[in-house]
Parts: sequence; structure tokens; C-alpha cells
Amino acid sequence: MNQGYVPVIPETITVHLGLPGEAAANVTVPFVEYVKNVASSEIYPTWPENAIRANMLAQISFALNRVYTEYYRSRGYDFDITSSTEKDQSFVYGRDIFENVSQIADEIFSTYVRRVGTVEPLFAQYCNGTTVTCSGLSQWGTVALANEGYAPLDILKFYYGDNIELVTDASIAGVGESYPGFALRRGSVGNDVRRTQLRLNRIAKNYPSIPRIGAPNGVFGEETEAAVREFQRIFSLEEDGIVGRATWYAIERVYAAVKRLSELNSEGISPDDVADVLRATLEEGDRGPEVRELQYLLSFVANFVEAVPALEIDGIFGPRTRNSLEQFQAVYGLPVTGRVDAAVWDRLYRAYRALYESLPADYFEGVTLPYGGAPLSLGARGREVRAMQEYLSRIAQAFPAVPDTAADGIFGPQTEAAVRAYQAAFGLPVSGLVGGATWNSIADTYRSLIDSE
Amino acid sequence: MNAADQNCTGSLRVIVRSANGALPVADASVIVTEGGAESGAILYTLRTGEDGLTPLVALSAPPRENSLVPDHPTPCARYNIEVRRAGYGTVMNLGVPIFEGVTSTQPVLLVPIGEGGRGEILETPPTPPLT
Repeated sequence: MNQGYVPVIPETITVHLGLPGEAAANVTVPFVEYVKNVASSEIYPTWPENAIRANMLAQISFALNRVYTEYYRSRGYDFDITSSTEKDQSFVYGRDIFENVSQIADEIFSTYVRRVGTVEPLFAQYCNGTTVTCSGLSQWGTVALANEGYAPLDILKFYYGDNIELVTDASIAGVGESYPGFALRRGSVGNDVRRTQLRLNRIAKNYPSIPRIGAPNGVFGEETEAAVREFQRIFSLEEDGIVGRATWYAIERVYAAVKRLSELNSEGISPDDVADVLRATLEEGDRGPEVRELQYLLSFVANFVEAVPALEIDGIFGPRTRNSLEQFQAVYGLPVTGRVDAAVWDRLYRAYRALYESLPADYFEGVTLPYGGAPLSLGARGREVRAMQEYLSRIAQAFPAVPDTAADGIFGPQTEAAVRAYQAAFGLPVSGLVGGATWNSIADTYRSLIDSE
Repeated sequence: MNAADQNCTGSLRVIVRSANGALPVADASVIVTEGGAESGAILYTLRTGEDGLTPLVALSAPPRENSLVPDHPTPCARYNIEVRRAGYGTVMNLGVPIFEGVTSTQPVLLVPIGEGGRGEILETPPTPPLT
């Protein structure tokens, strides 16, 4: 139990899509997306705004209470809350979101209700007020109160008593940078503006309709405003060209998703001899490089498939690895065994290649491409070869021992010579073949050169 | 549906992404059909732009008043949405609710699932539960 600590808004929340003991998938979603989904599922978007806000504050507080008291986790479950209306509140995975609800959620997802003099988010029970009545808030009752002119907090006090208060702007876990406390707009200057500009430019690599900010110099000018407006349009925010709380945190979230995908690069695949790995059978309790490989592949898949949890790549096959593997097996139509055999390796590699190849060509501009999963050698062609040649060419400028090579996407004799020279210079076995170890070494060297520019 | 219903509309936009939102999916085909019936009439055939968004389209919906009283049988209209893109698993969203005067955004996460992959059918329950 956490009592005594000040609650924070979790970055994500893990929802079990069924009753607690029932076999069902868990999905981990950003907390704000959870709030949008619950509000869209529990109430009607046509209701008066103050009724919607009161309901959403109760929903947020209820969820935070579950997280804060570790209600399910302390009972041995691997989730924070369920989607069952009997136990918790409705969450419909993949459903549509109402725009007005979405904009309110972006504004208030870090606001919750508590009793005066306590720190715990209120266990804000509620029911529909017609077929089910309870001691908490009546959903339909909020409509009548809002029509009578009650403000959201007054509606909440009507049901939960006068000794409650709102905590606004609670700190948010895991988010890169906290909102500076004031809106950034045309004419704003400073580090927060510069950080926003750099993040928008990075997001624009994935979302090319966002115009690039030519000079991310910390001055909020016309270009920055245009980029902010386009970001707001794409992510269903109010299009005002101003970076207030909602837009600030939306930028942080999208930036984190974009970064996460590109940061898996050199983490995982390391064995040069992939064929050996393909034969290994793994189960809980195993350790070593094959387990790292498995964890890397699962984490890569996790970037695309919400039901598969991402993993720490530590080379230890524990319960988390097993859980992630079982989710993968379920989603990809394999028998759910929690063990890795040749068929599972094959499916994992095919899934990995399909995901990898779906990434746009210019996606890794400024970052490095992850290892493709199969060694490159003389005669290989394509995007990976071209990327490797670009890295080697940049390395050649700094290390005269490595000859320059043209970035033509064809692994010819000249490229092979550069690879051999690189391997000799960097203490790798000289094979002229680019497996995981060589790829990661080249990518790391390249990145360190780029970062020092 | 009575004559008054015909004048009421809500809006829909479909947003197609991949990699848990890190990438937009351009050029996905989005088909909106009448909900309920097995093979409802096709109302719109849309395509996503480079930002992963379809244009905003209007769909008929019952009057707003229906959703302001408890237990009305049709507080909203229901539609089905199918999203396809070569190389990705197809996603079907069934029973997507549309309310008068409200814009619904349907997020769709496509998984580049490759050979042997399968799609996903997601269904929104007939009425919001209102617990």
C-alpha cells in the first residue's frame, strides 16, 4: 500500500478486459486515453458540459484510487483496473472517442477529487441512478443538477459531501518534462519553446504534414505556430496554435511513442550467428543472450501490438517475459504455451520483419536503423545496406583506417572491404559479414559521431 | 426512422495509425456502412491522407433529446467501419455510436502483421452501460 505518499498521475494504466479472475487480455494505455475511453463508454456526449465534467472527475478519481491503493496488484493481479462495470468502470478497447469528451480529458486528466485532509484520490463510486442506485453519484442525476446550474464541483459535493476538494495539476509520472505552468504562444521565448520546437521537428519525421521549424532557436514565431496548429489538428486538440497544458502533454506523449520505437535499436539482437538462436528452446528460468534476443523481439512487437507488454531486456526469462510471450502467442494465433520452440522463433522473426519493413524509409533519419534480424553479406541489397553504407561513410571521415564506401544500397566488394576494415579497427572478428554484433557496433559508432557534431 | 430524424447529423473522422500511435498510416481504405444489418449499405468509401486522417463526414443520428432522457431505445445511431491497408491486418469496428451534433473520432491501430497474420474485429456494445 502507498498510503502516505502523494498520488501521482500514472503515465499509463493497465486494464484487464474482463472480470478479475476471468481469462482476458490486459492492455496498457496512456492514462489520458483511458480517461477519454471511460467517459465515452460511461456517459452520453450530448449531456450538459458540467455534467460531463463532474462524471469525468469521478471516473478519474475512481481509477486513481485503484492505482494508488494497489487494489488489484496487492491481490496478486498484474493489472491496475478491470473493464467490468460490476467491479470498476467501463472501458471498451478500440472504441470511438467523442471530440468534446477528448478535449475535456486533455484538460483535466491530472485533476482528481479527495477528502479534505487526506491525500488518497476519492473512491468515487457511481451508478446510473435509474436501474441501479447507490450511495455515490447518480449519472442521470448529474444531468438534472447541471441543468439547474450546478458547477462540476457542486455536483460532486451534492453526492460525496461538502468535505471534498479538487487537486489540480497533480504531477505526472514518467513524462519527459512537466508543463512549465504557463502557455507558450507567439512571442514566447526560452528553453521550453526550444524543447517544444525540437520535439515537434522530431514528431514531424513520422508525421510529415507537420511543417518543419527551420530554426528551432527558442523563439515562438510563425513557423512554430503553424507546426503547433497542425499537431493539434492531427491529434484532435483545439486548434489555437498555443501550447497550453493539453497540447504540452500531448506533444510529450507522442514524442515518447516516437522515441520509444527508435530507441530499441541497439538494445537487443547481438548474436552474430542467428541460425544457432533459431534452434534454441527457451522456457521460464532460462538466462542468456537467447533470452535477450527473445525480449528484444517481443519489445519490438509491443510497439505495435498493445496486448503484448514491453519488457526490460535483461536476459532473464522470468514471469514478465513469460506473460509477454503468452500474449504474443495468443495474438498471433499460436498455442499459448509460454515456451519458445522453433515455430515460435519463426513466427517472432516473421512478425518482426513485417513490422520492421512497415517503417517509412526516412523514419530513421538522424537515428539509426535497428538490426534487421538477418546478417548482411556480399550481394545483399536494400534499405539496410544503404543505411549501413551511410554509417560507414560517416565513420570513414573520422577513422582513416576505414575506407569510404558509396551509399548505393548494394553490398559490393567495396562495401565488404569497408566492413572488414571496420571490424579490424574495432576489435570484432573480421568476417566481412554484418550480423547483429557488427551492426550494433557500427550503429553505435555512427551515433556517437553524430551526437558529438 | 421518421422524417425528423433525417435532419439530424453527427460527424465521424477515422484516424489510422500504427506502432501505438508513433506512425500515421497513409492510404488506408476506410468503408463506413449502416450498422446493425449483416451487410449494411455502404455510405462512404474514404482514404486516409499522409497524416493518417480521413475527411470529416456527416452521418445521420437521432435527435439529441433522445440521449437526454434515461432508457430511450435509440440515443444514437450505429455504424460499422472497416479499415484495410495492404500489408496490415484488417480492422472492423462494429456498432460505432454517432450522436447528433457530436464529432466522433474512431482511432484505428493497424498492425503490419505480414504473412499468416490476422485482423481484428472490435465491437462497441449496443448502448453505453451507464452503470
